[in-house]
Amino acid sequence: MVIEKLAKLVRQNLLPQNRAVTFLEITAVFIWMSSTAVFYLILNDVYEGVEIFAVRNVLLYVASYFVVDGLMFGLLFRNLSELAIKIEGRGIDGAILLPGNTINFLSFRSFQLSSLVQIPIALLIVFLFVKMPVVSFILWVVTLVLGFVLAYLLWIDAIFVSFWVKNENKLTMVVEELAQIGVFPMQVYLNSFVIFFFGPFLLISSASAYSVLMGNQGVIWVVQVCAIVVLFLLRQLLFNLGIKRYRR
Amino acid sequence: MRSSFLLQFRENFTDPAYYFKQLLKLSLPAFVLFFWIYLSGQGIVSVGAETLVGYFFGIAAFNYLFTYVVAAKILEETFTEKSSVMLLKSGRFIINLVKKTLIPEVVNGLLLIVLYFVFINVAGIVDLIGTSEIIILLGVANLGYFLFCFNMAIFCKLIKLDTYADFSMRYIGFTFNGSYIPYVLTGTFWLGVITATPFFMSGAPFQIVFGNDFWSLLVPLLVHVIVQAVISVTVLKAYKLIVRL
Repeated sequence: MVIEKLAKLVRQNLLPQNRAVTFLEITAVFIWMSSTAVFYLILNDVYEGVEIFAVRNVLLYVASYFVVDGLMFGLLFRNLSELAIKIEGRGIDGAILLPGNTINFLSFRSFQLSSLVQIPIALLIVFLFVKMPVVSFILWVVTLVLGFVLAYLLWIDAIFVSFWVKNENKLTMVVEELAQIGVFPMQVYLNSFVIFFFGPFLLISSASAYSVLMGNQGVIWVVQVCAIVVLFLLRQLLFNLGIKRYRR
Repeated sequence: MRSSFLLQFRENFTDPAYYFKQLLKLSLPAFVLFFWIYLSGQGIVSVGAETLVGYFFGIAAFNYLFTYVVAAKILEETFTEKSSVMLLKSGRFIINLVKKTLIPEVVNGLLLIVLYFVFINVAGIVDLIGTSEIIILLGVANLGYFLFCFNMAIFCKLIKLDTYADFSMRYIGFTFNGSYIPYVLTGTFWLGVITATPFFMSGAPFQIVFGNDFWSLLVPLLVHVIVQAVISVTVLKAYKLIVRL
């Protein structure tokens, strides 16, 4: 079903009336990816010999970030933005009355091709330039999937705050922007008090790259799963309390 | 109009959500700041933590205001149906754009702006002359950045690319305006490359004052502002011609 949906998405985006916009959107995505790569190119050039800016390490951080970013924006962005607007505008009656887990359905209802394009590009970067053993690659992918689930839960928890506080979708924007910490090496924040604030955001993608470089995927998985459990419980709590308030 | 800005100013200070929003604004560049403080602590960069805090506090107070909010509002205002008509009376449109996008956001950002100037003076990072330089440079640089945002908005409107316009401006803007790379730390030809991009404008005041390259950065800044002004006039004329065709 997912493959069918993706195929339909590609066909729709390549229709003559949509081709120009699709091309421009994909170009914008290339420019974003390049600007991040150039950021590190500059640091690698200016601070030669510094291990934290070694090309292999940097490409792994950038590729990890863009895989999860591609999933976030390709699968979630439009849907969650619409959900946030509906919650603030008190327009989710239709969603609540439907059977089953409609919030999950609404979160993944439609995809965005241009953001999904980041994923194969990021994977190609890893194949060509990072060259890790197959087992490491599979373990890396698992940490990225867990990171994506974390990102979804962080995002949706921020949206459910809208049941109480109207924020014109600004909280979700904050989550998006803080997720950009994934571009930076995790070891920078590990021994500092800020890990308590940025921790969940580091687990989205930076931790995946870190786990490959340190060879400690098992530890990262455990931390990610614990964070997912906490955020999931928070999601359930916020949703149930939020719906009660909405119905009042 | 003046009284509504004063009202907005007074309301901000009695609204707890306003203080929370300012805290959020500070948190966004915090992870970049800690990245550079880490490098400073490792001896990789030679600039002290105090200067870095002063630099990034300025980024939080101003760059986020312009790169985030004002750019997004300009794009939003330019993409409305009403703007298509208003753009044909260009002078009025720009005046309305300043009133609707720039001034309210500057009023909202006043708390961080004032705190920033108090901090850099009390911490001894800049003196009164340095403070005056920053204020003048901020006026010049952000005028240029405002015109750049407007030009991008018109360009995106002409090519019908509204979906990613504000995100692109934000993402690329952050990478190259000093929000990610404090120019004070670069001493290579990359500084010239970054200086050549229009995104340089919003970070220029801090680089010029915190760094030691006053004239070699001031001149490119002024060139950028003039170029954006010329582009604004040209783009508006082009828009009117295209719309009338």
